[in-house]
Amino acid sequence: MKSERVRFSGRFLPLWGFIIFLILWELATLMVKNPLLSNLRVEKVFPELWRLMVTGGLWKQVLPSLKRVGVALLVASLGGIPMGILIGYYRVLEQLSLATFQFLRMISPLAWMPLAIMFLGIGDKPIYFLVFMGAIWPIIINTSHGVGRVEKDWIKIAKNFGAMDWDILKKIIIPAILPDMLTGLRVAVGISWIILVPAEMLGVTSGLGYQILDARDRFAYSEMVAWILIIGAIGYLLDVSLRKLRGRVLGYEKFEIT
Amino acid sequence: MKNSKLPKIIVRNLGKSFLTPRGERVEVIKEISFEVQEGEFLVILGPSGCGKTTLLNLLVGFEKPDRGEVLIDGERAKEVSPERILLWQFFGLFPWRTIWENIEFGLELKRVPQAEREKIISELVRITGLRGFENRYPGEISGGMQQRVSLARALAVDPEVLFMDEPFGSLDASMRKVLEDELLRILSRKKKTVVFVTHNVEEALYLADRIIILSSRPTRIVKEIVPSFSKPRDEISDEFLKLKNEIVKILRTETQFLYTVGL
Repeated sequence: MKSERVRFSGRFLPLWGFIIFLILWELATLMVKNPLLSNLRVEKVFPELWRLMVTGGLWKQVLPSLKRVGVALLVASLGGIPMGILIGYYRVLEQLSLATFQFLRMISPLAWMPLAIMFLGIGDKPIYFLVFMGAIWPIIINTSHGVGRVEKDWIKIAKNFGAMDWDILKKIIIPAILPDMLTGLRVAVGISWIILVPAEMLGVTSGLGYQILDARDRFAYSEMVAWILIIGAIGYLLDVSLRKLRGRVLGYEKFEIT
Repeated sequence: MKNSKLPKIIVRNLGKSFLTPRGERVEVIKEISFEVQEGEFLVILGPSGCGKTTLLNLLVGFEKPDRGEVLIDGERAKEVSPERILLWQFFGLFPWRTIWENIEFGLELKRVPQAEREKIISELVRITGLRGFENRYPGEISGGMQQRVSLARALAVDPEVLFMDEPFGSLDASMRKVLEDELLRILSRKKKTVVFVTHNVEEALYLADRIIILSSRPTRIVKEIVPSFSKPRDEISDEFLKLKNEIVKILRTETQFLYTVGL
């Protein structure tokens, strides 16, 4: 009886956590005496959120943002996955490149911003580039790590059954590294979403990052916080759906032979 | 030669050594010659670490010998081939494929049409006792089951020769017994040439048409034994036990060195 109740409440614990977060937020805005802070109260922000949703203003900003992240991730995957496979497969390439990649990975993509604008101009292109620069490293590194875990025996067995190089890539290496590839993709999505907001504060007139600056310039502080909430919510949903996708594709993983 | 036909496999003056990471050359196989007749069940019996796996790798074609040659149907085998499938001690199943898909692997590579694939796989699923497990993943089933899948996957491509590297070595004794019986039963339906490697004397005597006993490294052939009594064999019969004792004695002398240094 007791354990049942614990389990029941357990499912809703994340929701309770969020409610506690809202209460603390409200308390903070109540306690600090600042006229500006009154705009940030829960009861002011949520009506703004509702308004953005029902007027459709929300989607007009979300779609360009999603498109930018999508394009950058696609390019990063198309480049990063083959690169990761090559690096994982040829030890020389790995030794040649890994230190440099680890070095590049530690540079915030935003550091490239002036160069990106100088060479790519103003608009979507520098944003693609900045998000790409954040997304590519986890994809390369996780993919190559996955290749390192492909058992040599699997390749020998495949050859025994008559597999050519192409078959080995398609039927052994890619399915074997899929878990690591999807992990890399999930990390890349998280980083992309974080990079996107500051990247959109430059030279574009749409997207979630832009809306934060725009709302500030209009002194619409409640709306600004509503945009911040939207950014968090969409990022959360992206992460959850990737986790779900990974679970679906890799149904076998929980039975993996260790 | 008992048979006027050309032997399926001829191994002639085979020798193989390896370089250790320290740069020392270790001779694994000294000089080995033997033949395997078509349809024969040959067991290669030897102490642990005697180079049995190396010998199999040479026979299958994963490695090239330093000296000597391996002839298949009288010709030097150039590459590994689906005609000669190796069964691994640890099954070597692909964890991302279901049982059905694992068995299908070789058929995909041979581009066998879908309808025929289904016919072949369902028959193998039936005779290897895997019915009801087709949609499970390897990690969901026991080691004994996994080795059946491995056997079914090999039989699916209808190879001429099956090489088996201690295939039941990681299973417990009762499961091993079951699978030995099943292997004999399956082979009585699908006649294959089998080269079966083991260090288990009873297993060798239970399965073999002929047994080759290897020394410890550098490996050479110590003795060849042909059990005269027919299969299925009774492991507690006098003739079985007598031959078993004889083999154990040979192995003891051959592996004395290993015992004394405590390996």
